Amino acid sequence: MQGLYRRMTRFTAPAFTGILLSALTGLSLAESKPATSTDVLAASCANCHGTTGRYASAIPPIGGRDYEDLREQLLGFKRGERSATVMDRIAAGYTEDQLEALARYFAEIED
Amino acid sequence: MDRMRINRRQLLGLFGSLGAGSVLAASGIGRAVAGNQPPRITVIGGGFGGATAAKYLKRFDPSVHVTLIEPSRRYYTCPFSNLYLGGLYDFEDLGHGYRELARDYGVQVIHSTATDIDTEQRTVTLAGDETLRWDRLILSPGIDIRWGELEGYTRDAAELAPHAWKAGPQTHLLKKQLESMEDGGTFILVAPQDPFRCPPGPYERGSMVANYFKNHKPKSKILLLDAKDNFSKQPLFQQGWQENYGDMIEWVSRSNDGTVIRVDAANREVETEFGTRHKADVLNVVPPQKAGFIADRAGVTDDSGWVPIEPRTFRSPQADGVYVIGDATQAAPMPKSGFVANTQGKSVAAAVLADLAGEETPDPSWANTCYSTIAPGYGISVAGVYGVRDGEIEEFSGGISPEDADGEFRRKEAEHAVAWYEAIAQDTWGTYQEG
Repeated sequence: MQGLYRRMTRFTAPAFTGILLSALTGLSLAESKPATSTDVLAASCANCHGTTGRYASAIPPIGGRDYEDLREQLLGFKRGERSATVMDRIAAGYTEDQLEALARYFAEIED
Repeated sequence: MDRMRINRRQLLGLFGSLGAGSVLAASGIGRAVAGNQPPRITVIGGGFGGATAAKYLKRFDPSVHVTLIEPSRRYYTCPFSNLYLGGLYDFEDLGHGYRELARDYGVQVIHSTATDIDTEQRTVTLAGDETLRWDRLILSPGIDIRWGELEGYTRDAAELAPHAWKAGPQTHLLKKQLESMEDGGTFILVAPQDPFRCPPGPYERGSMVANYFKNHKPKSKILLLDAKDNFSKQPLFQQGWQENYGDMIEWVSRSNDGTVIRVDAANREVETEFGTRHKADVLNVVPPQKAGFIADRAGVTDDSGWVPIEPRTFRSPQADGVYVIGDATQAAPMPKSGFVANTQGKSVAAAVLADLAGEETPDPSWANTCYSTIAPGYGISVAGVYGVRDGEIEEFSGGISPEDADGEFRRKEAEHAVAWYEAIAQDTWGTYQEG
């Protein structure tokens, strides 16, 4: 139990900045076009999974994972075929088309 | 941080030596305003909503000029401030800076207070009377307290009976009072009617104070006096209280005379609707609230004190070019939570950019997951997915954690609460590193 509330190292060193910037800009800053509905949909996932879906913690990262794997999990949550703490309650609020678009979006993020 | 300070000094220096109008044309910012320069979007408030809006404006379209106005150089969050009170979290771990926004995304961050807004001239006035022009304005002003609406609860009273509903000195004051209290004392929390910031917040606070008492002052009692007959995640809280704290926490509903109508902060006494007086050793009043004051200055609030918005865009129907997000808005059934404010920051960024480009607003979509920590390793949640249907905001799915879940499920949700806090701090302020 003791470890749960002990903080991980924070991002403070300026040296990381360049790496972070290139990682973050790789996807959307390069394409200067208006945000799409899928961008807006996917942005909600960042709250728990990180801006590019790659935040590693007790909540699994989703950025850069296999499309089929993500799709199967999301549809499984929606249909109540996969057990979850919260993802079943969340996935139920999206259409299957939206979940497939989200799976594609996060699968296309590079590691 | 040094670089940011210099920038601000230079900026303020220029404002000081030249007129407000001419400085815009003379400085580096001015070049962005004159001629065919990129549109200027100003965001007021650097909390979950505003910081996210600024970041996602630049993620979606790096060519726009984004200014974020936030008084604090380090922003302390209300979420997880209860875990600080409960002894599970350090206060400094609730603080977040603006380095990522300024350096990695090119957001111009100005640490000052917005004191007035002119929606005709499209300007914002900062403390010290500097004026900035904007083409689109996003307000994420959070809440202000309705001082005096609950009889006896004034600014002075809050120094004796803290609200601690904005993280900062009030949180420290409450913590200090809890620490000075003798074992066997009574902690009273006064909970308001809806709507208010963070619907599960009063009940998580009761839980975390109970955790502190259990470890340090086990003979003490907790009384939650409520102006409501039901509350967020109620069955889960009540089950969790019993499992973790026995009968330490007593909740008094409105029907059972829980509504407090008068506060005597000097004596730490409250009086209820039907005349019952309760005496506390530590008195915590969560008072009635309204939209942050800058929303009033912009003329976007209505008689309720909150801000009506157009559901698809979060544009104010009362002022051209002004958008409002976060706790200040009337966006029910979405709750007033940091998670929701963050997702509104993203949808408003897309809506503003579409507006500037003369394109249709992409379909908005919002989500919420609010974790509450009842005890170390014992967490619960409420989740929701929201969108617009027939012109109204609707909840498409959601609900609370299962009531019959086992200890393992509660433990996982406690872990997910911590993971969520880190992830949203990464997403909003860049506090932690991804990957």
